[in-house]
Amino acid sequence: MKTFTKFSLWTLLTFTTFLANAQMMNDGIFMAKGNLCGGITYMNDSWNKYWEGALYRENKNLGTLTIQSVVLMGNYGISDRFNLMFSLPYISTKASAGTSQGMSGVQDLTMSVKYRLIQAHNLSVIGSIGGSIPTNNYVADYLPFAIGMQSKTGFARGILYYTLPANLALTVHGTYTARSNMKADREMYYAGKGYFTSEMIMPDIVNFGGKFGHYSYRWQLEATYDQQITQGTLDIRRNDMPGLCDKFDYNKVGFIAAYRVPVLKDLQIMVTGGKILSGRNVGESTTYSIGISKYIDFRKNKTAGIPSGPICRPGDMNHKSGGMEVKKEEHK
Amino acid sequence: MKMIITENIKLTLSAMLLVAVMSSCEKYLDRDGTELPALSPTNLDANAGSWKTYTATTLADYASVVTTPDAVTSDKYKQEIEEVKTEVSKIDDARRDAIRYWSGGGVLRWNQIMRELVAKNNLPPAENEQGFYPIPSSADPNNLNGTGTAFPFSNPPYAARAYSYVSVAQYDALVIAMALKAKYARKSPNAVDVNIVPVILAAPKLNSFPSEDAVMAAVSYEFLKRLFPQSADTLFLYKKKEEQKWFKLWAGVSTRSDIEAGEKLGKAVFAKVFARFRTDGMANAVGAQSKWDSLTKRCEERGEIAWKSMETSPRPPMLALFGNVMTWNMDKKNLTDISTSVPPLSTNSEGFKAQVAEVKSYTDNPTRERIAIVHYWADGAGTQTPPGHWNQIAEKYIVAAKQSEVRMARNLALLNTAMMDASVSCWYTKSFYYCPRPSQIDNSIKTLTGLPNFPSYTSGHSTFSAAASTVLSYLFPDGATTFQAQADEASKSRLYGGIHYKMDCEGGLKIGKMLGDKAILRGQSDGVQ
Repeated sequence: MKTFTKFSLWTLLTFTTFLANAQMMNDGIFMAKGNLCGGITYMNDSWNKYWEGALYRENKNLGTLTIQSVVLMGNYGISDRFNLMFSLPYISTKASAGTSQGMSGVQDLTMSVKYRLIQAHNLSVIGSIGGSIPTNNYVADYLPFAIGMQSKTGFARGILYYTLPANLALTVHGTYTARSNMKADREMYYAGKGYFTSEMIMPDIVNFGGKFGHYSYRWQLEATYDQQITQGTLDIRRNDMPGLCDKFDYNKVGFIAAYRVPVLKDLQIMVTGGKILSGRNVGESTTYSIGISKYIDFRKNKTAGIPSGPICRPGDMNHKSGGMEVKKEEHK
Repeated sequence: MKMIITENIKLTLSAMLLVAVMSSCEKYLDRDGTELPALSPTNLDANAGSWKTYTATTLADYASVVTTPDAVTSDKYKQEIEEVKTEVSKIDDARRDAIRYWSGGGVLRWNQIMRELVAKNNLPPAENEQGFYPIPSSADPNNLNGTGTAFPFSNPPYAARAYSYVSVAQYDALVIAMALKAKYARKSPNAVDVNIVPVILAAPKLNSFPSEDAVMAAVSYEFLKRLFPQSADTLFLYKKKEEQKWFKLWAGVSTRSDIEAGEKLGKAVFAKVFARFRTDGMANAVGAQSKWDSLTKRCEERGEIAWKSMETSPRPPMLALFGNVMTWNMDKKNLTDISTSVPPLSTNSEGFKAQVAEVKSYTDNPTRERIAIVHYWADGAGTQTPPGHWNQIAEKYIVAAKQSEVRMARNLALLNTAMMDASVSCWYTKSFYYCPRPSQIDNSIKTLTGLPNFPSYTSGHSTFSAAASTVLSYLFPDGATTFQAQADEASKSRLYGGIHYKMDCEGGLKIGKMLGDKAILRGQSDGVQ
């Protein structure tokens, strides 16, 4: 009976938001042993055009869809080459036109570990595995207003990190995310055929990406590229609402800029931006975020500890000698 | 360097293995909800040939369509027996799958197929570049390129009508088939020749001529391909039809002449029912700008606020004149009397304002439990619609009751004619009062489900659900309490979702009950014990 249609994009939230924002999850940088980095990020993602399958369109009964989120993140250095990470977002969705109400709530807790497998000269080979779990029974089967997908995921990620002179570095990463089936509130849906059950198949997801730029202790300025390919085959049908089983694909470019402010005890302020260039069943979204993060050194004997800095760039085999250019007066 | 690699080789391999394992996982559901047990009726209803048909068609109408079959002792029949043996020997996995699938019974299988096609085609036209909404046309069903629109848009009234006609046509065809089975009393080939061992299926207890599966295949296919004429859908239906037509030959329990007679009969009964379908008033149900304007004017002349589309480019009301389409279980006078027997509150009244405030209190304070109820019963765009949902509910009870196919068809016809009448009545009421939706009165009401693009009073979900629960309670008294609770919940879901006032829901339930009672009157006089 719904006589309007809508579209969604929260997959971006689940997958790229953190990729773009939480630099820890898919980059080559590690927290040093005994150091915790905690942060909070505000993110704003909006679009007024989308791809319905391959058809590029607008929807006047939706106007602009805005997805705002506040994400808590943490990254702890178990060792200089082994980090434990988590993130937890609160998400809120809203459309500028039409009569439909948006939704909001806490979404999925994501946890992962990242391990530097191999260091060969300037090249780090890094592996990461992790997963996510919904933290509550939020509504999933109501795109584009739903805040998540109610699916448990497990992922494996590979990262290649290559350091260059002048603190330049190139990162390439790829992730395979397996997703569990989810249970919707309804008992019939159409996804290529009729299903008379509340259980929905979530196709797995492949993400690729890369970034290049400057990374030093004080400054970070990188250009990013991300691509998502969903393993399913289902498109949003003509003028239909999106379904959770659909194929959500996109190519996205963006940037990350961050600075640790000396007068704020090296509080890091990070700004990111992103834009979807092309996609399938996703909104042509523009994303920006602003976040702050702070590290805490839990080592008991800080002066005797190795390394001397909180951030550990794997390319710097001997990073205690200033690979991250931590000046002594800033790190007492 | 070498050491570093060696140290990590196990970890690296494990990570690669993990990725390989994860990516090779096949995605499937253990159950997709279409599973049906093989038919095993507790009562064959062998006397069903005397039951009352909807189109008043009787055995005499088919004297020239199905003639006396060859005797089982004839050479012609013996050749057929040889063919059965040959086909049985050709059994393969595809045929086994088909036999298992159709062993669940054609009535329920076609009902599932139809609900799937309703869901597939239940998508409103998109507005074109000029800001207009193209009207779906059966003359151009495949218009999928965005300049026009595909046919059909199987919205709830369209779906209710489709379910009712296919159920009625199957029922009428099976009644005639049962009369012929009793008349000719031809055994199935496995009973004639003991060397034929049925594949998968149990030996049939019904007489074999004409094949009830071929009857159902023909009548269902002929109707459904006209209801869902897109090429892809017609092809899908054709494959299903061919399977059901032949599977009992593959299984060794029907002969070619059983099947050919069944197909002829199915087509002939289809023609009878289709004659009614073509002239039931659906052709004028869409209306036109002048008709829609006059509905608005009539409402405003009464001093009431008239419904208007809340879409950004206003969309014409869905099938505004569907209330004039022919009903099944009552005449026009009866229908209009019932449809206007519970008037709404005036949009100027204090009572109405209180109902608007009540809607807003629900949408301003949604709970997870209420949202689940809203979504469970929404049955909106891209779904089987509320009448389809009630067929899904009925299916479980029909299966559990182990009914004969002709009784299943009769019960689904009672259910679906009641919901067709509910649809006609509700749309008559909607256009008669032309009552605005809550979000039109108070645009701060943000709904929890899609706002339907037609007037508010009465609630379609409430009318459908009350009609359906009334009929199902008659057919399955043990489930009455459950059906009643489901109807009440379906009704309330529309208030919780912010798209209906309480009066829409209560009015719909009251009228729906009256329409269900009309179907029961028919059920009490159709000769079925």
